[in-house]
Amino acid sequence: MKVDLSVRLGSLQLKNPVLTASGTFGYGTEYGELLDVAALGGIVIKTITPRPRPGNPSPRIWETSGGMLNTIGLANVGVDAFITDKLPALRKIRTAIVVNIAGSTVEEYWEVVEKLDNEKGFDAYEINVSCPNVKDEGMAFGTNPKVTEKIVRGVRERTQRPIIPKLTPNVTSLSEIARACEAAGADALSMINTLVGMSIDVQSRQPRISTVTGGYSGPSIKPVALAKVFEAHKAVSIPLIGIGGISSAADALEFIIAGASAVQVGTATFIDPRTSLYIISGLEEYCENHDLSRISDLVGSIQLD
Amino acid sequence: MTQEKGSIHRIDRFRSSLFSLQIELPAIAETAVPGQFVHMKVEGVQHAILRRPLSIAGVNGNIIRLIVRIVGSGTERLAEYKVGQTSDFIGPLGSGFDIGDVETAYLIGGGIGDAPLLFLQDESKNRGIKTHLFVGSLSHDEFPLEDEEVKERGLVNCTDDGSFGFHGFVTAAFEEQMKRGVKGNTRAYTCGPVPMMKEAARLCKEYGIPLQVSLENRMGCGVGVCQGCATKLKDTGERGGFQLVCVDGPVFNAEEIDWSLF
Repeated sequence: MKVDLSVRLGSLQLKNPVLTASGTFGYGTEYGELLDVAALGGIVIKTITPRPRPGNPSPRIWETSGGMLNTIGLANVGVDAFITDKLPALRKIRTAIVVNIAGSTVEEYWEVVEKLDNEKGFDAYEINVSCPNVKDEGMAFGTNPKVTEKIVRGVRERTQRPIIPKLTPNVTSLSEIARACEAAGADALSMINTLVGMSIDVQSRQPRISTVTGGYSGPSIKPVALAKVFEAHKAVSIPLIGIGGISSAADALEFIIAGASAVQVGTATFIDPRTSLYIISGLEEYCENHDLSRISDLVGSIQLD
Repeated sequence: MTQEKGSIHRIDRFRSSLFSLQIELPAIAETAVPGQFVHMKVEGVQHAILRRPLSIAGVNGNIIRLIVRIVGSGTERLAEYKVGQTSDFIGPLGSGFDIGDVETAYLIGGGIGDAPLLFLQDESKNRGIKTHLFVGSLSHDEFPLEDEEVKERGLVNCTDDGSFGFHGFVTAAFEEQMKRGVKGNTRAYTCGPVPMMKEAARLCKEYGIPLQVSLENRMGCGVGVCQGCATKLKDTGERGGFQLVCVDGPVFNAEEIDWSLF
């Protein structure tokens, strides 16, 4: 039996439901010597901002029990250099390319889209609303439904491409934010971004990473992410991309069954760059073993009784 | 860069917390140059997930040699590996030393910072370059090479407590050598603790010897993707002076480094 692994996220068609998460697959080409990137369902590019960002001081990462903390600080080349130096290589990759965007003001998000949207070589935007808003005492944009809606609506007005806000889990009501994004015209939602975490060296009593707190990712956050996807699946009708600690086909299946139409693999790529490819073949095998001709039939199929 | 399963060919525990590993890694061994590293997945470490970057200490045919000090759960588990056991490796990674066409090379290593310098000494000798290798540690029990190999390599072994070889810092032994005179076209290389490399840089500047420095930092991916190992060097206006130890390094020219930032 030939299994149909393709999925549709609004107008974004993917050959299979496994993408690499932003910040864990660079600008798409770095891992090219180790795996066939065209076999992926898609690649989400590292966050692009209007101007280059050098990033945060060292130490930027710390390994925790079953996960890691990072404070990279959205280090990136900026949208202009992205267009001239990175996009040409991406145009040659035969899979969906999703560009993740961010800004330190609402307008900066729109600025990136205005500069990028006439360019060829990518298929969708993922909107990183988890970064700090400099005009709102550094609170992440994505913690405020009104600000999130404003960003998404502004992006919607500036592009025909599919737009996918990436939600932060560090909120009281994720459903409320998800509904705000849906109302503003989002095609799908990525969830979740990293949790806020920290670690201390008890000998020196200093924090392990330079900004004290940072983004917590890896296998240990999977149950939190899964619960958020399950929550959002009940709150909105647009497709979801599940992210958070996915390291195996079984992990990906949990997200799909909870309501995700696709998944992203992040930290697990550092552990084994081929993780996403193993997940793709594992999903196919699962469908064969369960007489499923289409992976999409599995989305949200959780049995609650 | 390649990803391959390597089988442990030999493992030699020496002193109280050091061991050397010889691993069969044909594809990596074929292209590895001194200064590069492998990113190793250490299986069976509870709750640890990330790979461990380890400097290549030598290549012999299909075999890659590593020298490891037990510092945490990953290296502790690694010390228990058995011959024939396999593990996953990505490599060779990073930039190598620029060996160049010189008459004499001075290699200054502290602790297991000696690992890439051993490979560099082998390669330099193959090219007919005269090498002076200086290796230092706190004491004999922490010396990062077995006594027999110390003799074979003809290196200057230094210990802070005088329990093995030259009594004093490795940089003091290097300075004595400098005082005897530096002739011809030379280069120096250093890898080890920051204060030691800083002093080596000061001496090399004083004696006019170009120095290459091998840095380390915590790594995530090892291939330039996560940017976790970004380290601030001199600010040249690009990327705020941040360089990635994994792909821009680990080897840098000493002139690129602002030691006050370390």
